[in-house]
Amino acid sequence: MNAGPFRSLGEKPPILMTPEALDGMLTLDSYRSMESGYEGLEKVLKEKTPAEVTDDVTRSGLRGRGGAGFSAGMKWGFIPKDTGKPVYLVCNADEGEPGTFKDRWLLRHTPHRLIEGILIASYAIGCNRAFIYMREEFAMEAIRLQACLDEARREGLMGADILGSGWECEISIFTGAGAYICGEETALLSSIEGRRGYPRVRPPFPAIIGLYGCPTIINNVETLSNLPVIARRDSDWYASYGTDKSTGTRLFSISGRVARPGVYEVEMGVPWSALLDDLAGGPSRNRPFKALYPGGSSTPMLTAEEAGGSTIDFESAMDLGTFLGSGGTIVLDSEDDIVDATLNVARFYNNESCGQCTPCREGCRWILQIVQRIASGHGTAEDIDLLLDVTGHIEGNTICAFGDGAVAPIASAVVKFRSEFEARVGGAQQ
Amino acid sequence: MITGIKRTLKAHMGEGVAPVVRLPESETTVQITIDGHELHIPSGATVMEAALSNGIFIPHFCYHPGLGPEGNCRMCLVEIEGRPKLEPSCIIPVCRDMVVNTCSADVVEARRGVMEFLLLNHPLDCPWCDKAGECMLQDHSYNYGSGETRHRMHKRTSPVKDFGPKLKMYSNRCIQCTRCVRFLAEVEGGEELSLFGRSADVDVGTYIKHNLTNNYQGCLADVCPVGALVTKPFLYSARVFYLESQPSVCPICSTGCSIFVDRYQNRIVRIRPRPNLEVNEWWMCDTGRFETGWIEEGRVDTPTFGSESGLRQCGWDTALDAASKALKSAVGGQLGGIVWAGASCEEIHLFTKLLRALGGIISPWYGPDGRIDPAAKEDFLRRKDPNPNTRGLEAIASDLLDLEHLLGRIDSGEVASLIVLGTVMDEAVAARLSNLDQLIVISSHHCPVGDASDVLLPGTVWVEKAGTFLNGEGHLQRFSQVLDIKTAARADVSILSALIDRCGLGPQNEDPAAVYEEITRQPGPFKGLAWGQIPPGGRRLDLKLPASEPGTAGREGAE
Repeated sequence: MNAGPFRSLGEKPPILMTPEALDGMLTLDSYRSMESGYEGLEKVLKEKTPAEVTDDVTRSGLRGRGGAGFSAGMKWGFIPKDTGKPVYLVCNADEGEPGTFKDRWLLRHTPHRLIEGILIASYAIGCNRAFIYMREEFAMEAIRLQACLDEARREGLMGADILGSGWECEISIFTGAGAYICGEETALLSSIEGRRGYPRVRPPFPAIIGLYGCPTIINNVETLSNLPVIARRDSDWYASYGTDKSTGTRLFSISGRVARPGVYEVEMGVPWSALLDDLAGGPSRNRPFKALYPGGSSTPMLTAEEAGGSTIDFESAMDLGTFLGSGGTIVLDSEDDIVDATLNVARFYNNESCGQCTPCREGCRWILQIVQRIASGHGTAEDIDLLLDVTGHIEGNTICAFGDGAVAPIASAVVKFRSEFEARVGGAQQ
Repeated sequence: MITGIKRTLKAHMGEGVAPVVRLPESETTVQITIDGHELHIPSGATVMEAALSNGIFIPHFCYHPGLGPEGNCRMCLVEIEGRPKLEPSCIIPVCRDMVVNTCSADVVEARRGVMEFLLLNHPLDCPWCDKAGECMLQDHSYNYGSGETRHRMHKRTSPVKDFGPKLKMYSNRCIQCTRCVRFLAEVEGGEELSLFGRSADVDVGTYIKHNLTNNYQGCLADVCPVGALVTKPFLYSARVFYLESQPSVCPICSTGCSIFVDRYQNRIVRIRPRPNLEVNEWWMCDTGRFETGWIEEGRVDTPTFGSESGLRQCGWDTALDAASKALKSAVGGQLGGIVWAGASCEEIHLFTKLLRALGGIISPWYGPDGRIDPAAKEDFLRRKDPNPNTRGLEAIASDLLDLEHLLGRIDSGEVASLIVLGTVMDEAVAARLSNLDQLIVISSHHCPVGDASDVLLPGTVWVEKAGTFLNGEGHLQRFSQVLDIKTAARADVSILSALIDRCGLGPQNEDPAAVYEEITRQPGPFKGLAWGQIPPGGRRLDLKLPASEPGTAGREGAE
């Protein structure tokens, strides 16, 4: 069924971007009639214990779609039992990574699927109070989602005694204020608590001490949106998608020099060409691809050759020293300048560093200054090595992953396209 | 000259760099290894606490033993075996069989990076920065930084902030460690400072420009690891490496905070807290720190002797003769004594000894507002009792007569001679002394009672003598002489010893240590605790206080 915005290894139907979803399942009725909506939840509540749900999700191989790619079921398993404290679930809908807009697609097209996913996850971890941390810019999506939450409450799908099971769960939308760092899960928790959006030192991990000091699970919109179908079908069915270690499908939002930028779904393990050429229509300017940020601007850059010989799954990405990140692929072609692209990225991370820890706060500004100098033709050959040295002092030494994400696209660009930097410090300006 | 500076610098750094750490009270310990040393650490302690309490120094900026860990400076990153990344030692708790390396190649490289980052925008204005000499950034820069910069751009600058009469902030020097913000939020409670902006523009300040109003602003300068927050009273008054520091005890309330008095050219230029986990932890209030003007103002500098033509200055011999003659001539119950609760234990002991031998009665004087000042504001350190030695007075002079009763006996003529130890700033008391035949006053400062005296003997303030104070919770602390006496005044213990001798009750040793030993030979809470055995942080005595008495130290009292 290799049609529409989906590509699989064999002849499988899409999981998230179904034809029904493309039309939009915005009401409870449409979700119920077109996709057997909330049947997964009903099945879970009637037939399974929370531990069994967690086991099912672990067996399905579902890994986090927010960036780190950690096993969802395993993460749930870290919630300590019998602490006497409430357990919280937070849906991370603060999709802020440059080039990423796949969660927005899910919020726009399948809001009830997300709500069902949140309810299933809440049931599995023993949570009666879930939050959706919504990016400020998603104002329309927030209004739509709130309408769906109201609808779910009216139909007995949210609140007390859900579907007559005796189990209760409340879901609230919390809107951020536009800081990129608040997509980082611990900064997000600080933000909900009304503090400065500062990431927290781990350990303790949020599963132990999270929101308001209580055990908390933070899952991405896409991760949660996969749960209803896993509950309705079964984990083996889900695991039949993808590779051994990267199961299921993955949404990608692709932008840059491609003919058809947009959101697409691919089965894990398909070649990059399936996404870049088949789905996105190849180059937009009839020039060969040069490089791409595979999973958002904070993932190390790949050359077109590297991507061309590789497949889309967590392991292959790691073999190339990069990540699938948030699935926000940005493509550059042969006419694009790597130094300018790097300057753009450096500017973003200089603006968005929260300023809490030293290496990131001072380092991101310094990196920007050095890249600006090189881009303006005032750099020296030493500046290129200095750039690598500075990135080395940030990487791994910061409180959260922002530091790593800020230097990855810079260092990889310098390593893989050093000649372009050298051409600029020679004084030649394009 | 240069070696002299180096020596004092070293002494100073030793003091500031190895902080006093409070380890968690835990029944279990875990064995860990830091740099090859096998250590047994109470569980719940952090790697930083484990290292510092065992003499292993891990450089840090944002960590302060009195504040919650934040892990933001990244200077204390260490290598822990089995962990993929370097970890901040100020936050990571110790666990069984942990192996820590505080100086591996990766750690050294990370520290070099952090030092370089912190100095990128630092103005390097050490020559005119108050903190130079006791600055963590300066110290760590020597030890872990590089002598050269690779930064070629303009430095970030922001204006100097004026926080009112006590504090100033040189934001350019700030390293955003948030110690000041955390002190106000966690310890003082007022949350007057916060962070504004983000990325490299993060700035510490107040929401809407205003003066700080809390009474612990000096502590903000103390916790600032660099020269960003500086106190105005000390600003530009001396270089810290020329200061001589003496351990002392703050005399302004019954908490008796442990302090250092920093002296320069026989002048007090700065008072700062001396960490003492049992009394004031790492803190002291601004009243004790900054309000030192009274020490020099209105001092009595020579003995005076009242004659028919009024008071006239005289030598010590004349004054002491006149005083002892008056004391001896008082018959039976005719002699009274008033002793101030700010006198040292030794002074109170000698005063009591003198009065008892002569059959006199003794009343306490607690200040114009009484033993509990109703207007005083209590907080986590300050107490309503304005005297540092109320407990000492009550423990040593146990059969005290209420002051009002003594004044009544003076009104009725029953008491005709009175000796006062202390500066009694009270017109009302002075007005009721006109019936007396003889009034002898030992006072460091001019006061209404001293002005009415027949013999006025110039005493000293606490920084000019040694002694002990017993605080409101029964914690006994020693203080040492910081300043040389500039006038003819004498230590009060010496004056009282001379009077005891001249009254034929001697011989009396005038060394405070010897006088203290006399106290320990008497029954009571001091018994058996020798002068030399009082630790630098003092010792809690068993006063058998009733449980309802308000506490003195620790944060419990404030909450």
